[in-house]
Amino acid sequence: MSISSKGYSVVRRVIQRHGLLLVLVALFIISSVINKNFLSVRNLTNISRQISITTILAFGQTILIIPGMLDLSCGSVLALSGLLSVSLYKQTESLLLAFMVSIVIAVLCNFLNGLMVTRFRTPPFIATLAMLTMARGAALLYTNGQNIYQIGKYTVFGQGSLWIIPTPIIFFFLVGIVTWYILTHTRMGRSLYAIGGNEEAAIASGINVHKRKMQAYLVNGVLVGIAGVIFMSRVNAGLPNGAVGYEFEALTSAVIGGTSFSGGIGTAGGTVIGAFIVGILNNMMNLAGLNAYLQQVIRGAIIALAVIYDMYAKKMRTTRTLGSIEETQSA
Amino acid sequence: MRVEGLTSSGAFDSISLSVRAGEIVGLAGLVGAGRTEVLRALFGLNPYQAGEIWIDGRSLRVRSPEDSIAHGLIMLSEDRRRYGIIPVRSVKENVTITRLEEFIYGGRWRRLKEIERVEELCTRMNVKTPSINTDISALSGGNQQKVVLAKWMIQDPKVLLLDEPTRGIDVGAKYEIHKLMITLAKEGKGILMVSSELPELVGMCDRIYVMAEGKIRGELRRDQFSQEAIMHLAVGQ
Repeated sequence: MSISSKGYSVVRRVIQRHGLLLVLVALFIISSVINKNFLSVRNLTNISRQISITTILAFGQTILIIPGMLDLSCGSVLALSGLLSVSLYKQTESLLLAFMVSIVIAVLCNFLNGLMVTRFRTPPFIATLAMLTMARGAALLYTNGQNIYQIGKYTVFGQGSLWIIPTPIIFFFLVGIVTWYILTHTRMGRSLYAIGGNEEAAIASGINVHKRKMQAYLVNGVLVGIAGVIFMSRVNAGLPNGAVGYEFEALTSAVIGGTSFSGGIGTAGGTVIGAFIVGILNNMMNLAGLNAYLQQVIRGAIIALAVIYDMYAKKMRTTRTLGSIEETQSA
Repeated sequence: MRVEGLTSSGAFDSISLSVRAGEIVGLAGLVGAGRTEVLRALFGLNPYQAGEIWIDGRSLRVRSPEDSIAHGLIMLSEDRRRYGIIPVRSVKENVTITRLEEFIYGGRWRRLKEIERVEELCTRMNVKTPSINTDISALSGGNQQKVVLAKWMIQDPKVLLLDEPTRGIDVGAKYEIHKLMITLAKEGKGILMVSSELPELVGMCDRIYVMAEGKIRGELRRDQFSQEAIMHLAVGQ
């Protein structure tokens, strides 16, 4: 093998293994060239804060996509739980209770998601699509379509800060750590990866698939509940119509971050990178003054590209392994 | 292990057999005789309507693989691709998947212990892989089968149900797996092996049950072994 082709394959491997990070770095470079202020603490903090809610949802999606499921309802459930949380705060003046209520409601909704998927064998797409509609309806039903204003101290969740760090970023960080921990350091995480890799083999290996899938939805519920509180807190109101479409942003971040719909693949770190890539692209489009609708078209295109790449990567994985088997058999 | 009157409607009827510690027992029969179904029912993957199962004298009702694994009963599936390996994950993860509680408990992950144990098993089973972190689908069929065996060995089971353990595997790996089976039997484990290769059955087993159309047609002792005898029972008169 000549030296140049060896060098080429090394580059190729580096791209395959760290492609995601390289894309992020490239975006950083391009952005800072275009915009002198890009690398400022203020701007980076802004971006981090903007992606906080979506990324928290994306962590939930990651935990679900790995075992082959997903959650299309997170935007609606976020709104429902956040709304009820705000409402309870206005009635009890207790931030703690309000926070807990959001978690409880979101976990309840996801418990139902989990029930539909495990007990009733509903495909996650359908089950969470149904929940999307039900939760949104429930939210609108609760206030009869009205918004709840004057939320007082509730704003501390989304607009406060610890020292100089805005609270959304603190939640983002904490949720990220927990997600990473669950995926790498717990039996639940390992089981989810196994289920995603080959569910039947996982069952045959003694894994309780129903239990783990339910756990995944429940964890997702906690995350959605947290996102709900932050969201309402940031928009300064209880909005039953809030967070529409957030599930797609969450999915985008997760998929760009390397979480594959083929199952068994994905990491918390990857999702963070994916979220930042999306966040920086949004930032760039905003600074470029792009029409908001055009931005939406572009965002959609990015999702499509991410999924297409995911399919391509999956095909590459299968062809490579089949190729290896052929090699060893002939050897 | 002792089984009496195991019945699963549509698959098999009144299956009674036994496997003593240190024995390798064969389960022969034509394709479709119901052998895989019997194994799957014993392991908890298929339901059964009647019958009793004892392991080490303890009676058990098996509802899922978790139940059987808890009692020291494991099964190596016939279809490795479908039930045996977890493709996208590493060799290491594939090996430890059946006994995660040994390495991850109380919120701690015994990383080094896991690596040590997996390497020890892979060496023992002579698994050829660039590293234990390699994606298992990159391994050859024979090596994949060894990894699947390793994942069950980590359980230190009492009874092993092996469904066509050497099908589709190169000669070298086949020999290694046979050697391993003999070692396991010597260690006092009981093995029930389903195989369609008559020479393998005759060569490896202490006793052979022959099934046909969901029923056990007969049991052959070592001195009665012959390929003709097996086929005679398998074709079913």
